Amino acid sequence: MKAKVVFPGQRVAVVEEYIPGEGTYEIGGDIYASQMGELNLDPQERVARVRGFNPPLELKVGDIVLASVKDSRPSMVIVDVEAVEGNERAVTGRTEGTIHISKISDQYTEDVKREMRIADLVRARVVQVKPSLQLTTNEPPLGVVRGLCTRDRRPMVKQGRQLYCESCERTEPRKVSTVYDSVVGWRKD
Amino acid sequence: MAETPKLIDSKGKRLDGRKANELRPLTIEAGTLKRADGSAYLEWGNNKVMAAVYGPRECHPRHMAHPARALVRVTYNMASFSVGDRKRPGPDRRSTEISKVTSEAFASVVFLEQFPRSSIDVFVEILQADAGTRVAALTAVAVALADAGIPMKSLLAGVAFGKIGGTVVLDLGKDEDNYGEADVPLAIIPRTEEIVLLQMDGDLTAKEFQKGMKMAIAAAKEIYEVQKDALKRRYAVSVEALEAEEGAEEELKEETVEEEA
Amino acid sequence: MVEVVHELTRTHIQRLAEMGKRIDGRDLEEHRPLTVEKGYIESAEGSARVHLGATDLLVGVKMELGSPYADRPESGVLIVVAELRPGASPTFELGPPKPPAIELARVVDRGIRSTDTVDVSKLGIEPGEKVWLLFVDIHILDYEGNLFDAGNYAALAALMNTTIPNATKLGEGKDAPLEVKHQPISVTAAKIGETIFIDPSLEEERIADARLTVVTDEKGHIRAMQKGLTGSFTVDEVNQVVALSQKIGKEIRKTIAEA
Repeated sequence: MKAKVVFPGQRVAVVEEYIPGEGTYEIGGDIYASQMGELNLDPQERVARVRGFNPPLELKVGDIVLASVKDSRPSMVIVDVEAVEGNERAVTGRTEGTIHISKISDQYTEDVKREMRIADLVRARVVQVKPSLQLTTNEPPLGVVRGLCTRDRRPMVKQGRQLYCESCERTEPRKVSTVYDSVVGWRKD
Repeated sequence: MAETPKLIDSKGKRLDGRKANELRPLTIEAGTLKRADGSAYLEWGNNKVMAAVYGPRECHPRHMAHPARALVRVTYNMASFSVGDRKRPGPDRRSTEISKVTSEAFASVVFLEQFPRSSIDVFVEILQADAGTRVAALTAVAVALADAGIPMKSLLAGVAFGKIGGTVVLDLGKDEDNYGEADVPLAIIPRTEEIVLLQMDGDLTAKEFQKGMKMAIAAAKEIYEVQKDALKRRYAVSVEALEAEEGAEEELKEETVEEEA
Repeated sequence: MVEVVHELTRTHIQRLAEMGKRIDGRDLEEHRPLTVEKGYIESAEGSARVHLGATDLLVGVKMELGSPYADRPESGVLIVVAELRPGASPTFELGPPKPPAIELARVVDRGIRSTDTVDVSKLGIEPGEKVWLLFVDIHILDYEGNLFDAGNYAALAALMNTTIPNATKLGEGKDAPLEVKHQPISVTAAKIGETIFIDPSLEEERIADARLTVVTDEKGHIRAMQKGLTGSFTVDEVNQVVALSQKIGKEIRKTIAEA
């Protein structure tokens, strides 16, 4: 395999020899780079690809994201993806997704409202991108990382497997992440 | 108004010593801003231009979002101190028009359908204005978009030609712009020579126009090299690593594709 | 927006602060590296580009002929304007100046005005008719926190670099350097929890509870202050920031003078 840096609009291969893959396009039998990056001419699959140095942030299955809870329904919560972990770039396209009741926790969930509430921030994993965005919090480090007290809207602290509001001295149930309130590293650098 | 200076002498030498088909000095740096997803700083003659790209990101306001493709929005702005008499901050009719035609030029090369419901927002700041700020802006924006990894058919090169003292010349300077007989700003796809932005005012014969277009296309290819060089330097570490790898594998296989001329 | 997730760094920043540390490795009382480039813009009568850490901004001074204010017919007019250009941050939007831009311009203006850094009474030409208008335009290029201090440093440096265009714009006499009589220096602190951070970075600024800017002059006198955000300071904390402003101000005044 041969590596080479190419620029948008540069001819990289011909369709007789390669199939245009990601980061390329084809016009009149020729394949051109559509972004600056590393050209990859795959001799086995016969695919020409350009891997960009700074690609736009598109959600992929497996990404760990931070999302805010917008709404809850009897069978799911609706969230808006705010950021992908380790990347400060804004997410492209549709950011609205759902967490189905069966994917909230590894235990049986009877009532969605006992796991997540509107305005909570959750750490979740992307399990499907198309046709709709679906996420899961069904792992210990996933779940609510910042929950607001439903009475006075202040951030609560983790207390065992529940959240505690220090100002009104109430506890509330949640699917609490093991990294509650200690997520770091949202900058690119 | 002062008397029109002699813009070009009998030997075809211009006020600043350039030949008819010679560009003013052009330097570009890519990735100059930390916050933006892509950026470029350009100096061209006495123009100083900063371009910042954000996106593709969710389009706001949402009603402007297109379900099948991205929206490219270029905002051209002149800093209040960029010109001799202070410019009042904020958009005016001129900058609104430039923003529109520049957005359209880039919409013709960006693969918009890859990012439905998104916007690609580009902000160009003219920090110091000489002549030809819009083509300087175009040239900087192309580099900033590539730096942001936006998929495009090609980079665009912005360049202008005009007429001074009856002679067709490239890249008008300030006095040439003020006293010249015509100005034609263009955006050109260097490889295919397609024109994606064209404006003109002044007085040109069809023959002069054709002559100017030839010069502009040759200049676009020259500008394209400066743009590529800026991007190479920006990703110098990645490029070096790749070239080292390439050297090691040189004997493995013959190059299948030759570099563009 | 990505911004809402930054509240999550609060615990981390506070834990570091308990050990006297910061996310970028600085001491709590240490400002970021400052570079000042005077005369960056030739089309302006004066200019400076300032980097405070990764915060990058440009000030251009323009001098124009205009009418004086009715109540000060013999004086020139000093106007500070700030633009948070949308290229500088994903959180800045297009449109007319919003409250943060106006507050920034006014705080920078206050330091310059209260010290009479520029003696506007010397900028009159024909009383009641024609005076110099001195526009100080702050143009943000890259926003990485603490625009108040970066704006103050760039504005002062740009004024020190300004030439009155007597010959070019008034058509009388010779172009002459603008007299800059004082060097007011601003130092800003952010309070997060119980900790005071000097020259807050972007990470610190966006979760700060309270902010305090103190401008001191070359004698160490306090010449302008501005408290911002919803939290509070104790009197001791205010005194602490004042003392730091005096100390750090000295060093920064030197950097700007020598640029």
